[in-house]
Amino acid sequence: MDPEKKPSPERGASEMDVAKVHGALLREKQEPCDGMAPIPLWLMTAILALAFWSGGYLFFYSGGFRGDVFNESQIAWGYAPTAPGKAKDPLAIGKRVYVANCASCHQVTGLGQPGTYPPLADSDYVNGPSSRLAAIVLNGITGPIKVHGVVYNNNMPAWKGLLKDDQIAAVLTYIRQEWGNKAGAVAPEGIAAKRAAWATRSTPLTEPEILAIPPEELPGTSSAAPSSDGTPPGKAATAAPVTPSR
Amino acid sequence: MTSPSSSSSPKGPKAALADALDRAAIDASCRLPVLLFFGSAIAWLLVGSVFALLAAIKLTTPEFLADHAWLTFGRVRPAHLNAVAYGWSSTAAIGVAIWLMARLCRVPLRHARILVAAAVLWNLGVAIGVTAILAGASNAIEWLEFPTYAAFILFVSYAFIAVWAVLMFRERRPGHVYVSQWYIFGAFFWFPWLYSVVNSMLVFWPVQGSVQAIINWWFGHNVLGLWFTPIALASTYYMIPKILGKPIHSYYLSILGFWSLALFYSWNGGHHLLGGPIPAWLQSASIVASVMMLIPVITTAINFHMTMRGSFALLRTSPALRFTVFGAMCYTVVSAQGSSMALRSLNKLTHFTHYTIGHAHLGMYAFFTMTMFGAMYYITPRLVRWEWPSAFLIKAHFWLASTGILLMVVSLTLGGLIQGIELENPKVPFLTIVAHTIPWLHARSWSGALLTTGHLAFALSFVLILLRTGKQREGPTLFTKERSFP
Amino acid sequence: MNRGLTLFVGILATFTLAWAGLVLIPYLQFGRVTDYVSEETGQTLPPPMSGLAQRGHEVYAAEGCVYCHSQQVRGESQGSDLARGWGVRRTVARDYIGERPHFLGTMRTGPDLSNIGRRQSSVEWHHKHLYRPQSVSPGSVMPPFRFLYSLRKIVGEPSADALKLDGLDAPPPGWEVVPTPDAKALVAYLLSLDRSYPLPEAPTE
Ligand code: HEC
Repeated sequence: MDPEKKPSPERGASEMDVAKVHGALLREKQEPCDGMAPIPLWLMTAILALAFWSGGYLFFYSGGFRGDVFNESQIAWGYAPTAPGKAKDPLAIGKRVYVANCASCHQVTGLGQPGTYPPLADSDYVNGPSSRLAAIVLNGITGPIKVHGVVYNNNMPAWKGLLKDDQIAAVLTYIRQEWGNKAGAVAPEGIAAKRAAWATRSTPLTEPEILAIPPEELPGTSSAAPSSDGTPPGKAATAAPVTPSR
Repeated sequence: MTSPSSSSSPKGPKAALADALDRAAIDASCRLPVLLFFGSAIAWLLVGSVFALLAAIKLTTPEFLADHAWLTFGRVRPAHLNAVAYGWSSTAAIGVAIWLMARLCRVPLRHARILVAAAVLWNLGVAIGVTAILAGASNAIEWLEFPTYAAFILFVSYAFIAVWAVLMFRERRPGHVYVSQWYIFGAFFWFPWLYSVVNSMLVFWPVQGSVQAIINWWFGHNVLGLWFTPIALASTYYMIPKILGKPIHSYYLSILGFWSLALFYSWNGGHHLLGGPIPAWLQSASIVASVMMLIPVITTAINFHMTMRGSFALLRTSPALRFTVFGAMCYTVVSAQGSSMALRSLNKLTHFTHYTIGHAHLGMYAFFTMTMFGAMYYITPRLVRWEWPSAFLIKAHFWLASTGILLMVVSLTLGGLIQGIELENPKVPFLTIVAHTIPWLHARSWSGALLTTGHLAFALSFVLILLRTGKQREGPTLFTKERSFP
Repeated sequence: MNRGLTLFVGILATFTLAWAGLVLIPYLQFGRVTDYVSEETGQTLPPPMSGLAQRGHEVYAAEGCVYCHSQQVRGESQGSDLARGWGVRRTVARDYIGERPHFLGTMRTGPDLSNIGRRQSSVEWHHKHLYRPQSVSPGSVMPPFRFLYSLRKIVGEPSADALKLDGLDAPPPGWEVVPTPDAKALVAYLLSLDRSYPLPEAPTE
């Protein structure tokens, strides 16, 4: 393929049969060259404006260029990041716990999934005696369970190894007062008592076992939702935070 | 008109003939390596299209061919990406770059053997890599799925090409270095540096997870920005003025465009990880660089547009020009879209959705691939010394490719937006979102079928021109019947 | 720009600048963070992965789960990841120190899996889901991974780990479906995914 070595018919116009040069090459235009038009003024201005914006953006949204600041609006030129104090409102904590642990099956809407995960909204287990509800969450469930006459069949893990008393109390309070549910708030000491009572149980409960638990309210459970005036429970909670009795 | 006397050398017919003979010598010297790269590129394009179709169908019909481990979605999808990125795009880019280098250095190509060896090795590397992915040996790092042995072969092949490029550049005929050469020169250096740094820090001696992610996307974005884009721009900077017979509008804009691209594109990678586990400053730096990409893009767009001004009618006739200009226009669109997607407020909707996939195809297909098609339509007849046998096939290719990619980008963009907006709302259950994307994914499968048909038309054209079928034409093969190609 | 040298130096300089900014500095700044020992519980965080889960990590790579599932939770300002229950806090660099390769992902055809082990801790559910996702999630587009399971004749007593399949998926009588070692490792890996522990730079409350 080295054109230097082989006698090439294309070398030298004199011995060259013009017809042999491909038509495409003959009609071709010159090789490209440059025009000398200046850069438009508006473009220069736009570049300056962009550069100015960039500097500002980097200054305000770079977390002080630290390696351990991930949140861009947490400006940290030299001072250590502090997490913004979050409300200790049990409904707010309960919602966080719910979303993180329960919502993937029971859904954010509390409606569950047909056939597998029962709804929590308007459920007798949720609004009913807190002793059974606490037992379910502490130990988990296995096998079919009937809610409003419909059977749901799947497994729910035990949460006693994963959540603390106040977290369980908060999430139970949350589900008992969200989606139109109006049952009373659950207190951490009630959960602590139940946890001790169930300490030796290592397998999930079944429906008959749950129904065998005496229906009673745990110590510290308030009798009903704080609002009965028709405001949505979420709203009511911010207006009048539930303080578990101690 | 095709008579030599109309050739536009300012120096008169004699000099014009001498120029043509020079070009003939250059083209003859390029014939084997360039056609080898083009031919294998087209073969990989077909392979990549098949994988793409399989993956697209699987995304709506999960049971389709589901019982073969080799054909599970999670293997076919990376097989598609690697076949089109390394098999088609890189090979086509290298072929086009070799020819442009030889033409612009104004010397016949030397050391063709190096390039032939590189082509063989490259194809071997891609074939081994794609097979390894299907066999389950993938690294699962996007854009870098090839296992070490395949990556190593590619690297060796690439080293050959880089050495050749340096030798060639040194042997150039003295004089002006045209903007296309800057881009090719840059790409030929950037890619091997990138590929070796990244492979060594991710595959050979992997660093910690989050740093891997940032290096991963630094590569993922640079392979577009510092490898495919520069070569496509080099081709556009050559083809537009060449076919029009006009100088490029402004040398100063060319300079500004080139250096701002070099400076900003290489900082974009972090915008693939917005909200992710990398420090805020890295994210913000990449956002800023992505927005600054407006500078090279606007600059280049002005330069192309002003050169084209007054000559847009030619798009009706010349296939090479039409494909190239289509690509150039999409470059402006895709880059502006990319800058906007890097903004946190829009990114939180588009991140993790099909919108991003639509954007990627707008870049890699509507811009890059269309530009390569344009260049191949221009270059191949000069190498084979035969005109394209069928205008119908070229026309079919153009319309299938352009409507196909339009349909794909529109359906993925709209489907992705719906997906993103619904993901933002935690009350919408996940499976509902899945159900809402399915009609758009069906549309995407159909667009893939259009593109694949277009590729078949192109491949057929290519085989026919290699075989020199049909009668010998005098004039070029054009879209319209007009004889007077200026 | 007619000098090859000018061109080369410029090309080298721009590239090196970006390399320093996006690779070298990040590596020096957060590429060598170590695990964190919790003062409260004495736990090493993130908890080291078991050998079986490590093998599952490889299966996850080979089967390309990463093309449909991300493993990163964005903060409150950037999307609804937390509100959807995909995590209790955003994930940070330290969460991934043991990951080779990383599975951060860029696509959410399926849900984020950063905390799937906590969200869905039933081994049985995962096997059923992998065997045919639609059996537990109707309308899912996740592909079935039946090739990670083997159908075999029951000899003597049925295997303890045979899948409890019903309906469409039930094996013919006298046969059973058992997970291959790959499937078991993959499920062990999925169960190990729980990034809900608090870190100093990412508290959970
Ligand atoms: C084609 C895309 C796709 C691929 C590939 C894929 N998945 Fe999925 N995955 C989904 C979709 C969609 C869902 C949501 C519906 C469902 O639960 O099936 C899902 C759900 C899941 C879930 C349940 C998540 C939850 O929040 O309940 C797990 C676990 C999972 N996938 C694991 C895997 C693993 C492991 C692999 C690789 C072996 C994989 N997936 C491959 C699409 C995919």
